[in-house]
Amino acid sequence: MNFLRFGLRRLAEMALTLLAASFVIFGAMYLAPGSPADFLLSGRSASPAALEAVNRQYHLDEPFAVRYFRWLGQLLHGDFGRSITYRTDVSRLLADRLPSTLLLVAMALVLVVVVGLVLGRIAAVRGGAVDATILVTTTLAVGTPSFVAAVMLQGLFAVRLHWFPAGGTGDGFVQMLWHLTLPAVALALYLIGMLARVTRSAMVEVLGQEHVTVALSRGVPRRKVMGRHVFRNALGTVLTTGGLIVSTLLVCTVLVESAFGVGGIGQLLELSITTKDFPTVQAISLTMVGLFMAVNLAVDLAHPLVDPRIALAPRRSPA
Amino acid sequence: MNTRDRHGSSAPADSVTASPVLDIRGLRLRLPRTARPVLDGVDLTVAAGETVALVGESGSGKTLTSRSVLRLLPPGATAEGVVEVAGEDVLAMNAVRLRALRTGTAAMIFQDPRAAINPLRRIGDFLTESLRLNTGTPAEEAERRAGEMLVAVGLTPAALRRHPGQLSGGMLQRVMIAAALMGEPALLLADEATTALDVTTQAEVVALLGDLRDRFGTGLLFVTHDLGLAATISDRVYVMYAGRIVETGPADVLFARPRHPYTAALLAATPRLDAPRGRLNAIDGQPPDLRAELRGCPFAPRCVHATALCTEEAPEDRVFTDGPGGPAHRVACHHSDRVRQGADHG
Amino acid sequence: MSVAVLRRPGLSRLRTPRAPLYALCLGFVTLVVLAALLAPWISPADPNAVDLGNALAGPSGAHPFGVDSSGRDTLARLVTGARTSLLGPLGVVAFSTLAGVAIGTTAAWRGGWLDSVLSRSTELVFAFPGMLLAILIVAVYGEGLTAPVVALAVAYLPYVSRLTRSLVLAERQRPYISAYLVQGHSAAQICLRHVLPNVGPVVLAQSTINFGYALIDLAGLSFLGLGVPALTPDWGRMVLDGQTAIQRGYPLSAIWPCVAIVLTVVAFNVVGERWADRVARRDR
Repeated sequence: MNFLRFGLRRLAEMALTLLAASFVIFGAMYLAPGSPADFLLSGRSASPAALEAVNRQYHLDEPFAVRYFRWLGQLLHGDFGRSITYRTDVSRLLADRLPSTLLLVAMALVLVVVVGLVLGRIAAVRGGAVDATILVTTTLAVGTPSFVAAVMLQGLFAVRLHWFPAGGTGDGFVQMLWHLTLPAVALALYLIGMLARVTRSAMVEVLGQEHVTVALSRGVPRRKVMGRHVFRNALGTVLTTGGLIVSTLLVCTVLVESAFGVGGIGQLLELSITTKDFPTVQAISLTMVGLFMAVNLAVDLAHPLVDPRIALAPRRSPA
Repeated sequence: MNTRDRHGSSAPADSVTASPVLDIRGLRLRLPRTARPVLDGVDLTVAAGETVALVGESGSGKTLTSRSVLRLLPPGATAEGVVEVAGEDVLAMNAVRLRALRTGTAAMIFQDPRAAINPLRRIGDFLTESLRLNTGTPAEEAERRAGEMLVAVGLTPAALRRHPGQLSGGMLQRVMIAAALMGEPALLLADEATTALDVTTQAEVVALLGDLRDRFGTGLLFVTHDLGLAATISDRVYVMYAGRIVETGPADVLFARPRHPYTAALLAATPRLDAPRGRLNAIDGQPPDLRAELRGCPFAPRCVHATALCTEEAPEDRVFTDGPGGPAHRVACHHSDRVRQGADHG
Repeated sequence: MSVAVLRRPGLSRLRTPRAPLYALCLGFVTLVVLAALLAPWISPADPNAVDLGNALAGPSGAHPFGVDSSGRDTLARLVTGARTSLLGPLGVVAFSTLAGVAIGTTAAWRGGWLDSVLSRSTELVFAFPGMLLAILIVAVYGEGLTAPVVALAVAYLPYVSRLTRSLVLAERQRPYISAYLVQGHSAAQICLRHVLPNVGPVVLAQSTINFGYALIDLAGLSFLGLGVPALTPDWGRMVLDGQTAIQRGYPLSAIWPCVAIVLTVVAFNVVGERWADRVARRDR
């Protein structure tokens, strides 16, 4: 079947890109000036024997190709190596910290999709002063980096008003939701503005098309026309921003988790960078790129379902 | 909704004399930032089972006239006058009645079916949506009716599952017609319904519309710039220029003996197979600009018969009856006696 | 010509920026640029003068915007910080524009294998979130502005090169090009003298929009404590320093840099959008 072949082909492409990304990530770490061993021994003047032991333990003395393929082979078995700072398996670290990041990203994603779509739809349907107000608000939102939003929200709602905790992750699901609300809003703000504007302009474009007039001429109520035709047809355009939304969410978790002290992989990435814990940095980078590509693949696969006119072409890039 | 049973065997000839399904009286439409009304006192009637053609150049106001029957007015437009469909004034309706009118009593077939049907939804959804959403017709019943209508326009019910992109332009225009028939309309408005189609498909669609009119006794207002087409299919013709009806009469009479210089000029500019080959006579000049006020006859600047009177005073309708008891032939021209068929223009 | 500026979504196809808003934003951009250029002369105080006794004091005659948790004058740090905060994005935009135009033009003009190699590598970069790339590079090369600027420039390059490529492809179709070729002008000459000037305004609009994004990304890096060295005044760094003050209930020293960042990004976005609109209208 066409759809299956398309999916498999995109899957193969994704695997190749992921391989290339892994090479870039590993190569960047390899080229880094200063050995992790120095950091491990944290400046202590270690005996050559101790240095060699460390080098052997972390395979720092082998040639590049050997180390790359060993790393790759271990990856395929779900083994991300050992963290130099935490002295445990990176996969354990990831497993501990991934849930809060995923929850944070999911909460932000829900906010972005719901609020962004609703705002964009209202702006397009109402027009006039409502439209202008939403446009000005979203212009500001689009100019607000997530860390600025994080610091401001923290200052207002946590420190001044005490409505929300100022940081941390919390224990148990409900507490986690509670702690992650402000970070999720901070993470979502920019993207809400972006999605609202994309939705609005896509809907305004559809509004000018004749089939909308035709539907009205056939007595379909305006509200239904807005939903069934205008909004529905705008969704295809909105969906193409899916990859950008998720990649922005993933990268900005680093900033927002640091600002709020959320114990997710974003904060872990920041900590590992300051401590030059390369195995962890590699693992997190690769996880982020992998998640990002998986979302792009999902968007590609979903697009023909949203828009039957889209041929199942191998790639989406316009000429 | 109109519940009249039109599936009976009412012969179209009888219904011509019945009360009109469409009666436009003194329709005047103004758009923002224009100096004169785009529609200036339009009078037009369509009887049940009758085919009426509304012809004119692009920009003459024929599309606006047909759209105002469904109150599809451009933003900011103000309308005066009366547009009665099946005895009810469209311009005075509340939102609920208006939707009922659009779902049932009157339906429009648009020029470009490719643009008129949402490409993302299935044909079945397009056909049934207005019934399902407005009259609460159950989905299966609406679907069954849609299937019947598709058969009536020469397609198969299998098309219900298709997306518009999978059908040809001619097939889509049939779908458009089927959609217009879904609410059992008393009045069909065809707005350049065949212009976007190739010639063979055009002939098929015209034949289909004629068939359906006979079968369902629907009144048909056919908006077109194609005089040949208007002559073949219509009972009566209205000729429109600069937002006014300049001439109206039975199709055979009007085309055989046009009494308005504009109609005569239009006819002279139409290629004919039965006439000797020669240069076509284009009409010199441009239609009047909407941003300028109009005094006198709007066609005067382009008219070969124009006199001082024409630029001063707008002509009143003159009525000619060709033979005793024949239908009226109305002309808005000071010099209609001087117009001889075709020959005198250019 | 059916080519549009590849704006990032969210700012696409909008005709909102009306004249007063545009003038206001252009004025603000000028103001910020002037402040950055003249910082050493107009700065009211030494941005690095620590006065712990006066920490977190509110606005006063001596310190109109207040001081931060180390007692440093906020206004002085804002004005001086404009230098680093604008210099970084400028480097990103300059590098990505020059390299992007060169790559895009070459790919479009030469076509063939070169085009496909360049297009493929462009796509590989697209698969990598730009900020992540910058974080990685900083992780490897440590602090300093050069590494993140180069990383972001590489990440932004595809936006410019893809745009240039499609513009040059469209421009090549025009009859005047073959007329010049027939007259014996060299390809390089035609590119430099005719194609690039025609393509330029569109690319410039794209780069202006990119400037705002680069500012956001670089400020984010300094907020993480990466990139800009700790003592250099920088808006992102100021937000990081101010965050501890906010948690202690003194929000002022963090609010100012936040406002500066948001307004500057918005101003660059509005100006860039306006230019893109103008270019789009010219081509219609």
